[in-house]
Amino acid sequence: MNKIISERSIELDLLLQDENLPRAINRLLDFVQDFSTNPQFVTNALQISADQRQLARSIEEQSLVNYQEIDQKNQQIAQRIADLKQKIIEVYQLAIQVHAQNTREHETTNVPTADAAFIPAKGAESFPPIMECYGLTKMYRKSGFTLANIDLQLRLGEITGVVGENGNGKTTLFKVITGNLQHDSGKIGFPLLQRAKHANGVNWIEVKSEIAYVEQELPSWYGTLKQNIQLELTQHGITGSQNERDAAYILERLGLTEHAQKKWSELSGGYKLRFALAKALVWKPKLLVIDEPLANLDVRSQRIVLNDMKDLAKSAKHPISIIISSQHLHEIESIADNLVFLQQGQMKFSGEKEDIGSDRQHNFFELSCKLDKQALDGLLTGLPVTEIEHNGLSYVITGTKELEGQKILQALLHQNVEIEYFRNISNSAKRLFL
Amino acid sequence: MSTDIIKPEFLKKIDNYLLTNSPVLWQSRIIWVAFYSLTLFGIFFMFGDAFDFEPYYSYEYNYKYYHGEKNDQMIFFFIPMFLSVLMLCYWLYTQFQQRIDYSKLSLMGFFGTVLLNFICVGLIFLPTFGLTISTIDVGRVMESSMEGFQRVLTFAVAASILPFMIRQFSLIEMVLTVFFGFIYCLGVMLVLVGLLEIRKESLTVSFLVFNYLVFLGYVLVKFGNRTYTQQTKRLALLCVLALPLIIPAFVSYLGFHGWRSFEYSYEYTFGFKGREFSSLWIVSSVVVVLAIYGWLARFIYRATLFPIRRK
Amino acid sequence: MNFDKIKPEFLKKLDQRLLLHYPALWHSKIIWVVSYAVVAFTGIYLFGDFVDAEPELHQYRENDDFGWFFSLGIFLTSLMVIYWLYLQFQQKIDYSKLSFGKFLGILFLNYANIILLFIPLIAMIYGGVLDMERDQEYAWTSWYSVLYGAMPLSALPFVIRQFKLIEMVLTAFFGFIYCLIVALVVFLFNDSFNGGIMEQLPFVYILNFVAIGAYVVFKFSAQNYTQQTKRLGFLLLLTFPIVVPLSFLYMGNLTDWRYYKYDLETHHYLVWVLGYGFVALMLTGYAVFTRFMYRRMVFPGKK
Repeated sequence: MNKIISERSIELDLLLQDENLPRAINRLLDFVQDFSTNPQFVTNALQISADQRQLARSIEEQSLVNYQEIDQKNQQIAQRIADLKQKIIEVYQLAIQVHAQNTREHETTNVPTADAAFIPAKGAESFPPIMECYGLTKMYRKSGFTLANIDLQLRLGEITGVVGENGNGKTTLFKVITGNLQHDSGKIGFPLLQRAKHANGVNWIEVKSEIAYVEQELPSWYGTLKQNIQLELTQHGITGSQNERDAAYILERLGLTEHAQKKWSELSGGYKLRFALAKALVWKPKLLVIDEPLANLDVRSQRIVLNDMKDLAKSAKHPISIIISSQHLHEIESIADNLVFLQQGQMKFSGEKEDIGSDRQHNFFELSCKLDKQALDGLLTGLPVTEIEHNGLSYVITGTKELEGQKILQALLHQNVEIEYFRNISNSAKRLFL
Repeated sequence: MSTDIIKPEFLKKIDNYLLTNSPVLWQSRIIWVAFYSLTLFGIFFMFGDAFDFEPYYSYEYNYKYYHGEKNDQMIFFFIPMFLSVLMLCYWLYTQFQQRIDYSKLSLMGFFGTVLLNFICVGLIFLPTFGLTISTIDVGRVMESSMEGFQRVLTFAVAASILPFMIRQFSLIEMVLTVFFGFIYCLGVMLVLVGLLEIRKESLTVSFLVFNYLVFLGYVLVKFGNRTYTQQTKRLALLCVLALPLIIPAFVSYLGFHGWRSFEYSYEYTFGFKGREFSSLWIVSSVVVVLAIYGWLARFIYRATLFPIRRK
Repeated sequence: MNFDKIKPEFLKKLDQRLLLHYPALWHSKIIWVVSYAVVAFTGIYLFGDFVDAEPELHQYRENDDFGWFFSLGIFLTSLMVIYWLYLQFQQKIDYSKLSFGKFLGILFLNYANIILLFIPLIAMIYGGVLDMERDQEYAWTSWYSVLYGAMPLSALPFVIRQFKLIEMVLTAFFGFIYCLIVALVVFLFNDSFNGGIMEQLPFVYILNFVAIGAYVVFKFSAQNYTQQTKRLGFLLLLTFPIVVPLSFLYMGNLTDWRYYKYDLETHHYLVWVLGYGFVALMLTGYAVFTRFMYRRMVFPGKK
């Protein structure tokens, strides 16, 4: 665990060096959450975040224009981040020492050990899967569509991306694994979430209280947004000042504090999704199922949401397993550890994203340029290209495994062709759609 | 809940024809309403009497003892009336389901659509009417049932205009608007009758009518200037729903019903005094109300095509 | 529609405290209902008599008081109950982990909320709005109907999110139709209304209720329920307060009740004990059935 804390500390230092304060503050908040139990540290971190937000707003509104003053304030905030991080590390290491000492003493003299819950969990990979299903099948009699033979394992700290064309069973799969729809055959189990065996297999009463499901169509909220978040916490047994702190933390962490007193109807689509995420994450579920979250988000919001999900999934103290469906393949690939590709209800691929295309016979490249197909074909003569197709938006160049991206680029640049977009999709989920 | 199984094929074909040629007729669901209502009316009218309580005839007193007959009114009038109201709610729900563009309809088109909606509403209550007239045997009970019909139909006329407005409000908004409308009227009455002790009916009713006209004027001006808000729309909904309650006052102003004018106007309208479904009621509470609704519907609908001002 | 401006600050703080510590109490909106009930009751009790019509010799004008104040009051309060049900619908509350005792407690809380909404009407009897004894008797009869009708409404917040509004309306509608058809069928086999059908019909209804109840319980137990089963469950919830009194008809000969009637007339407290004991029994029955249904619905249903 010392390794994890030092890695995170280095990450924070690098962000501070790059003067990337917004990201540094987010990671500081994660740092506090993972390695500290002192509420004062949480309050300090939230205060730093609020101050940085205030500074950013002042710069935006041009009420603060003096460059030196801005720089000075940024440095002060950076210093506060570094100081707080250092304090947390000192307290943490002290706690480790005390825990180790007590453990040794306990082994000899039965002295009660320090609260081991303070020590963040070991690497998530050592735990059994949080959800596993084998041969899962669900058939809709009316339409005849069948989700068939799904084998899947979800682990803490991992993000699984589910991709596939519309109507291929993604939402059905999500409804089955969240207990909203009954499967027809196959097995499904939650080894980590279910304490004892249940007569009918899964004790959904116990399991559902650890699963958060953010649907594609978000239902309306009533009352203020903060109230909704607090109610969610209270329902999970977190009351009083802890409730206030946790609500404040998640709102600050996801950049929603300014909107906390608004009503649902006053939010844009992007913020609605972010609030739905906040409500799902505030009580620290073990499994987060999220259906098409990126659909209504602008590019910047997509980046923020994806980064937040990656950071929170890989939390040292409260790792989460996230399963997410999306049509934004590139974005999903950037954060997913595993990918599942569904086609007509069948699982055509399931595994680590690095394994996509590992058994391929061809290489695939996407290219956008102003050349017509004939001219492009002529330019690439001599390269082991087997097919060039235009899909309406860009060219897809198929070649043997010897075909390299650099060679294609060299050929084009040699002729001064203006390249708008080029990507090697041989190992990408995109090739699954070809 | 799919009702496709019980729909006859020939009607489905007519329905499809209306969908592609006359969307306003299709939207009203007139063929389904007419089919089921007329069928049920026929069945109830012909066979209803086989199931009811027959009044006992007391030869000693030469009198129809109708104790058992009273149960007929509960079973064959009140309960079917309640079910008809539920069907009316369902019919309004079907009107809510589709967004129909009425903007290109002329004024006569609006009148026609309002009349069509009223016919649908009337048809929904037709089976209950058939059941009542075939099962109720005693005159006094029949009279009170018909008065009940008249009362319900007087209010149900307002359902004819709701399809134009129903999509502008959420359901709870409509419930709360009606609620606060009642509270307002109650408050006015309490002030006038309770605190100021104005006991003369003509004054209190006239004040309420004047109040109504002021609100209606305000709504019309706001919609005319396209400066309406959601609050104005709620006020318009209240004005629309309250119109059947205002019309009897005007009937009295015009000199009908004699010297105890307001009381008699309302009693005749709501069927307290016999002479159910009189020609005056049909003209005032149906024809006039529908005509006003037609004009209002066109005016407000066309105004709402312009963007609303949000706070 | 925002009512924040008319809410007192101290109540808002209390509401916030309930949100953080007692979500079930917060969700029931008990503090707002209690404040409304107290204010409305006090207002009507103190000022009602100033604004009503005082009875004249032939009490004609007094009749207006019953119509204007009491009947209208019942109607308006019914609209408020609808709004309260809408507030219950707004938030998704997880009741699945509650013990039976807590579940029953929430049911009683819901019942109390509905009764509190109607409490101001009692002020009309004691506050001098309804001056005639006959009107007061009618008012008490209506009050007993309220106590009765509030029972199925108390269970609605647990199941309200399972159905669309139109689904509930149509389920109630077809439930009625079914009962009418049952009555017609019984009548066809027994065309005498005297003694025959009036003794058989309640029994047939009870039998139907038990059979459908068993089917619903079986389906939910086996986690084999569909949306249709849920609708049947909803119908059972609505008809429970009608079927239970029908079953009392079969507890001994009806004429023997006259001995109990004597006791009830001389010992009025017995009326209260029996009446409210009956309500408690019914609510316990509701809690058992609703909790069972609710926990089963946490498990996935078949589509």
